Parts: sequence; structure tokens; C-alpha cells
Amino acid sequence: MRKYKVNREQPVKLPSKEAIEKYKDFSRLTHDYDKIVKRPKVPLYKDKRMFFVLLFVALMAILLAQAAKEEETEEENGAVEQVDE
Amino acid sequence: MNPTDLTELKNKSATYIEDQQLILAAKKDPRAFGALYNKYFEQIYLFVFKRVQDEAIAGDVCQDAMLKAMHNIRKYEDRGYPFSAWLYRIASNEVNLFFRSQKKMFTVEVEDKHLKSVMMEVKIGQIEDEDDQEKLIKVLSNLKPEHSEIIELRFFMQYSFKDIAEFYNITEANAKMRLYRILDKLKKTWDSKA
Repeated sequence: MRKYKVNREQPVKLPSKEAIEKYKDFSRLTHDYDKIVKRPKVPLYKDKRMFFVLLFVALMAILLAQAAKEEETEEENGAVEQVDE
Repeated sequence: MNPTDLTELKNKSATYIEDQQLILAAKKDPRAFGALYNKYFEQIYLFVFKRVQDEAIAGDVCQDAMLKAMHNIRKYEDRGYPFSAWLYRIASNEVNLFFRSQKKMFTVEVEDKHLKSVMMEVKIGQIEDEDDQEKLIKVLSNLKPEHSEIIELRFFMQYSFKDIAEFYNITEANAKMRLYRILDKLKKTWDSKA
């Protein structure tokens, strides 16, 4: 956060043109821009972290699908037993 | 209209037309943003510097602001305000973000003459009383960066209401209303701490 302080002496000096030029760098800006815009060079499956995330998502999907299938079979069995009675 | 006003108007429209051409080029190819970057970097850097008062931080914040501008140039819409106003707003948002990201308190100096002008406008405290000035500093420090921004523009950076209106993309009347609303808030906080 920011807090103010009273300055009773000399006002803050503005930087010179030369000092400002030091921070002017369009090639750095284009480099940063490319980092944001361009697709990553490493494909998703080759990125270790992303690979594990994808693996986790896939496993969860399989588990959920299996659980749903089991539930469905149980319900069907239950219905058959009721008819038999 | 006197000849000076006419020349100023001509210069303004020349800048406006030039900017529109540069913006169009940058919308087609973001690499063409370089011309706008070179034209406005110094102005934006100084604006950021006045708010953060640190050369290196101003450099980083200014670069971040320019990056956002370059990234969003396609979304830029001409609403009759100068292009620089759009850049100033992005830069100011970056400054506010920077202040918010600071875990330790970041100190910004304010000249006592600027504090006195706030006190005169809001009609609070004794202008020459250093304790009252310190009290105002505390009240100002407790304002959200978005709220203190307009006070900084008007009193610390001496922006006219026309400049503030361009900055926020609003009318002059709305700029006045926005400022006086914040000053009202400031007065209430001051009175509650009396």
C-alpha cells in the first residue's frame, strides 16, 4: 500500500531526458508482448506440470464415468429384483 | 478566436489525425505500436514518476502500462478524446495496481504547498499548522488509491478540470462532481478524527 509524507524541503526533481531514455526500450516491450501473445513453444503434453494436470483430469473423468456406470447398473438390478418379488 | 488559439487548434487536430493513422497501423500490426510508444513514452513516464517518485519503478510501471496498451490497442475506440488520455488511464491503473501489490508501505512525498491547497479547498484545519498537515496526510493515506488519484491529479499535479475530464473520459461537470464527492468524503473523515 501507499502512504504520503510531507515534503517541506526541495520538491522532488524530475528525471532528465537522458535518464528517461534509459528506460525506453521497445525491443523489450515487443519481447514481452510476444511472450503474452504467442503460443508456448513446448507442447502441452511435454510440459511436466501440465502433463500431470491433464493426467489428473483424465483419471477423474474415468473414475466419474465408472461410478456413474456402476450406479446405473445397481439401479437396474434393483428394479429387476423388485419385479421378481 | 485569436491567432494563438487558432494555431493551437491546428496543432491539436494535426496530432489527432497523426495519432489516428498510427493507431490504425498498430491495430493492423501491433509492431507498428512502436511509433506511438516513441511518441508518448516520455509523457507517460513522467506521469508515472510523479506518482511513484522512483526512477526504476516508474520505468517498470510505464513499461507494463505500454505493454497493456499494445495488447489492447485493437479494443481502442475513438471517443473524441486524445489518445494520450487512454494511455494515461492505463498508466494510472498500473500505478494503483503497483501500490496495492506493495506489502510494505510505499512512501510518496507531497509538497506542503499542495497540502495547503487541499486544506484551503476543503476548508479544514489551520493551513500553516504542521500538525494539521500531518493529520491530512494520514487521512489521505487512508483513501483508496482510486479515490486519492483524482486529488493527486487536481492538487498535486495541477490538472485543470478539462484535463481531468479527458483523463476519465467524462464531461468537465462530471469531473468536478467526482472530485467534490471525494473531497466531501475527505472532510467527513477529517471531522470524525477531530
